Amino acid sequence: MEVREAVLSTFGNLEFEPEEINDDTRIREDLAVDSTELAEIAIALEKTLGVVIDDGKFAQLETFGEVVAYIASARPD
Amino acid sequence: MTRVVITGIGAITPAGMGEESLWHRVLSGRSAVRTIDRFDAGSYRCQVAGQADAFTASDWLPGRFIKRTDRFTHLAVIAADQAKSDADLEIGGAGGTQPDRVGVMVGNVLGGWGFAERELRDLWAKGIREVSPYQATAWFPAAPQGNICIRLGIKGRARTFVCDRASGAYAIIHAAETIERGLADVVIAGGTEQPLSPYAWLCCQTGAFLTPAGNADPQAAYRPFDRAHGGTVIGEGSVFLVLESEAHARARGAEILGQLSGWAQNTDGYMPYYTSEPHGNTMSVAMKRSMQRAGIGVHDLGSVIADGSAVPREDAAEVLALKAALGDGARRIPVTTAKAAYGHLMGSAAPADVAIALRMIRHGIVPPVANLDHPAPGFDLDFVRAAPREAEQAHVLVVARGLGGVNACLVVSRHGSAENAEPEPPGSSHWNGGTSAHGGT
Repeated sequence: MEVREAVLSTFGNLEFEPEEINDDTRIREDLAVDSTELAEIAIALEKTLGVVIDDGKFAQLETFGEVVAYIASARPD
Repeated sequence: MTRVVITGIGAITPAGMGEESLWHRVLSGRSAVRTIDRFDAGSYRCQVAGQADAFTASDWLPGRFIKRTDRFTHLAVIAADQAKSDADLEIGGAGGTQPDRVGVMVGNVLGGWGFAERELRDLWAKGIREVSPYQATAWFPAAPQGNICIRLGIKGRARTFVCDRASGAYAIIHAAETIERGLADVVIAGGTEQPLSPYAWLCCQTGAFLTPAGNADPQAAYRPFDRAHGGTVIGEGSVFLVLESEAHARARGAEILGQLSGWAQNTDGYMPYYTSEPHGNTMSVAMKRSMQRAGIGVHDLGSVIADGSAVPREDAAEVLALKAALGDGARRIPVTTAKAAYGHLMGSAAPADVAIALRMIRHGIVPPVANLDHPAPGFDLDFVRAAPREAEQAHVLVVARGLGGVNACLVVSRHGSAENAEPEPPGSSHWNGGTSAHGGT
């Protein structure tokens, strides 16, 4: 839950509307994220959550829920 | 020839939002130039500018757009929106103009340095991970063009012109030629500029055209053609026009504001210091050819909106060029420049002048040159000073020029009062400056 809130907060800092995002929200189709914004999101998550993101794996994630799960699995603790 | 008409105007300037605020500011003869407060300009020679403070991007645009783009793009997309709305133009859909028959032409000088400076500072101080991935696309001068196309669903020709302070005039000329050649029915053409960031301002300082003399009294700083002229005061803003073929405008029932009847461009780059010719001969040719293309003679011309940079050598060359182009008319045709009331908008300057020219024709008024108290010695044109002057007029000559000798002149006319003439190739003939070309030459 803590990871989900932190990821959602990061999206909010990047000017997404958190109230419009749920676990099934599709990153590309629903949020219209392109490759540049995906890079911005990945870097922001690395900086705020202290994770190291594999760009190839991150690019394959489809939904917000999958992003949260990936970040949770990538956290050092 | 296809007539090119103007059907919409959008403007965000130091005078406020919309072209009406621009017109009223210009009529007032009072300057909106102020001490810069967007950054600490205390160590610069020129510390005054026109600031488009009425525009707050977050009032108009979503955060996800703002984070990707510089303020010069924010200004441009909203001014283009205004122009489209003013023209009552629909793009796409059942009753709208086909998207691939609509173009966009933009003039800009500096690019998006406000965004770029912040990111480059982070690059050197903190490293590559701190740089926005939008840095590359936010900075470059074609960013407004692309974003206008995306926002308005435009699929036709799109170009950006970087020709110093004549950039906006080049954009308008290319738009007119695109329409005239049948390559588009409509072109949204104009310019945008946001020079208020430390490095952009330094570039302008080293360009040596800003006045260092007006910091104590900002409103009196910009003094075109005045004997105390000491250089330009620039400003931020964006102005866009909807240009279209007369046939297209009529077919969709658009209100026609006026006609872009003539234009010409040439160059007179001159060394040393990348300046322009001091005698104004080449500039005078651009003035003459723009009138020739409009099919008018000097006696048809109602007034002139000069560039009026207030750089002494540029003012002098422009006066000489006007004298050469207007001949006997030089002492009786009213000359103004509106820029002293809000700052030279660089890429947006000529589009703003066209918007003002349309008002001048519509109201029969020539606004005064703000701060022109005593014309410099030898500047014996009929400058409009102190107060607006009533003057019925059908044709206004707009002069634009930039560093390195780019000259671009436009003739704005009352709709239906001019027949565009075929352009003559440079050097093909001598132009008869005193004779109307009406009736076909």
